[in-house]
Amino acid sequence: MKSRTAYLYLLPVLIGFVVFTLGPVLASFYLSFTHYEIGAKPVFIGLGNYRELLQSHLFWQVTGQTFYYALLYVPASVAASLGLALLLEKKIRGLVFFRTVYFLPVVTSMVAAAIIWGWLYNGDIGLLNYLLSIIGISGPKWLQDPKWALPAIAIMSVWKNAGYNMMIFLAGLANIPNDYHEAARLDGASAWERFRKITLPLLSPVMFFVLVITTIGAFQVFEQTYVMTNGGPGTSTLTLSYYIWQTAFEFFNLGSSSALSYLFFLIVLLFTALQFRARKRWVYQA
Amino acid sequence: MKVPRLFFLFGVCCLAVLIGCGSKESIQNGKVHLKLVHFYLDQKDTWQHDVVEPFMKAHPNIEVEVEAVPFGLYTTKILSSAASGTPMGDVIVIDDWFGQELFRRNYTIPLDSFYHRDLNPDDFFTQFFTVWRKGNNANAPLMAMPAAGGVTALFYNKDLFDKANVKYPDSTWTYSDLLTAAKKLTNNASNPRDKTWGLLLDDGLFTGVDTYIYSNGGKILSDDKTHSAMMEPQTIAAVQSYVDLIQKEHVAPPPDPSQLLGQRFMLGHAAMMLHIDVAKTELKHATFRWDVAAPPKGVAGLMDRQNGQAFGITQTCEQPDSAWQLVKWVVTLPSKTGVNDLFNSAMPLYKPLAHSTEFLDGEPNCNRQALVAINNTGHVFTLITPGWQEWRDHGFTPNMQDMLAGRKSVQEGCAAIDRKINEVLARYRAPQ
Repeated sequence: MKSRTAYLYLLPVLIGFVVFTLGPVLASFYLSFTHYEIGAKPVFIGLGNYRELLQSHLFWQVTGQTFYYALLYVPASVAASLGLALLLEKKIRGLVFFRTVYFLPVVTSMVAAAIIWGWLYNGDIGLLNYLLSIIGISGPKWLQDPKWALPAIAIMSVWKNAGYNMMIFLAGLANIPNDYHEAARLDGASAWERFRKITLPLLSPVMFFVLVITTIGAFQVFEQTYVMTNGGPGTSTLTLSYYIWQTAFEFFNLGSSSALSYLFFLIVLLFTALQFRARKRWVYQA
Repeated sequence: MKVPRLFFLFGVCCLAVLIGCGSKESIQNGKVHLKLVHFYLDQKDTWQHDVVEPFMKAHPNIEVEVEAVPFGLYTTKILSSAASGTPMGDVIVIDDWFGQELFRRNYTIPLDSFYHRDLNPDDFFTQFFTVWRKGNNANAPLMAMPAAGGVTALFYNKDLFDKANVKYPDSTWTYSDLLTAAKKLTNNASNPRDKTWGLLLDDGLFTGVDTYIYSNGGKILSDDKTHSAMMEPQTIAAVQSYVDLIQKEHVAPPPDPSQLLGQRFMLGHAAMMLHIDVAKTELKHATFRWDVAAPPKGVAGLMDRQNGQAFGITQTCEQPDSAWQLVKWVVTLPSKTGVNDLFNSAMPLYKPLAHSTEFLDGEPNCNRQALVAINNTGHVFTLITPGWQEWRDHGFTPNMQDMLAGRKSVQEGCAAIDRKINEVLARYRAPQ
């Protein structure tokens, strides 16, 4: 009787899970082996979509660009959020205010932020190039230049998301007992040594978590490229998520889009597995 | 015993959901019930007051329910419903860029018999009809009734023209006149904030570049739309002259994909732009004086791409005769009220509406007569093919941006576009 009641309570969630998560996951897996344009009947073509994608120059270009973005964004984002967390860990006046200010971009709409940053990056009348010109630097045409567009988007993303990881790092820092620092200080350890030998090792489990979710988030970049550059100039900021969306909802090719999604899933899975494998080498286990 | 019961309960819940999603009966209390679905969310009230209510008053036996869907979600919803075999409504608005996707799947019914029975083709700008016929073929069934058509217009900033003492454009202009004026209107200010350009170019989204290429003798697609025509000498020459406006003549800024379409013109940094005429709604709050003229004529005369909106009756509509009454009403709009707002001020294709003062004097006020007159002298073409968005977004636009920015030569860029168009079209021709 008790278990039946429990199942009853779980039923809404189970229905939601089956209808909105498990069902689409299984359906898209099947569709990835079909030629399926929205509205037409799916036709089974085996590995046709995968073969076509793996032979396509654009797929490899887009995958490369997604990796490049992750390479730019992940280290910068983790370093910025750790830096902010270390600064805001100190007991200073206005601590809550500063924490709120640095967290604000996280709760700001990505679309609004992307539009504002589009203006800041304007090659002719943008604030960024104006500030650079004050110190004698002629700024690039950020979003108009294929070489600079992806780094510019990565910089904007770091600004947007650093506050989130900062909060996680702050929680991690709060869990490090102060005794270790006091003992090290008494032994004459410098601030850098204490950071390297105490803070970093004890923060490494949190760092690992942040690294994994930030990497996954980097691979999923979509809104920034959609709003700021539409994948341009040329196709220089086309990333995997954008490519999947475009294939499904602009080109109406759900079969190919599903195959892309599973290739994307495999890439993320592989990368996450590698991170877990490397974990033992640098993550401190208490 | 418990598990089967659980499955039973699960089944009941699913059934309840399915029943909840079911459609209404087409006849209720002796009245025909129709559902009209459109994407004019901002004009929802206008649609209700100026279309639906007068229609129901004139047709007391028909009741119309309206669903306004945001434009960004509209195609996804329409095509998803097409995929599931449950159309969203009885009468739906269709935009030219996804119309053929629906027609290929017989999502709507042919309207030729209704059209020829109740309407006079002479009352319409029928040159816009091809894109609404199945397969984009002039002799194929009409799958949706065209209501509004977009034409390419030459927008110009009167303040900048007056400042440079340049005569306003008119319907006699050629592309040579455009270049001469653009040179006079481009200033050499060293401070980018004071810089004004003579012309703002479309970097490949078919909001002007297509008109330019076709008017100057080029073609993007072969006449039967089965192959690319990008490598034809006239096309290469037309693209070269377009690129030269930036790279050689320096009368237009390089492309900037981070800017909204037409943004530099809207901000008063460009004196002219070729753009689809609905852009005039964006200029309602412009801080400068502006107007529109017909696009210049090239060696091929004045060419314009077919686009716009039409209304279709879905395959599952149980009352097609009543639905046609609604379609006819929307397209001909007997009261004329609201004609300027209903389609974002795009030109009605029903001539009495296009020539009405309600449309010609509508807000924002500009020389709409010049745009309507294009229909008498211009020639329309269409670029819609199966997979056209793919060859545009992964072929035409990025390569056009590269050419305009000087990253690729015109020969290289056209060759890359040519390959992409042919690759996509070949895929759609191949049996699946």
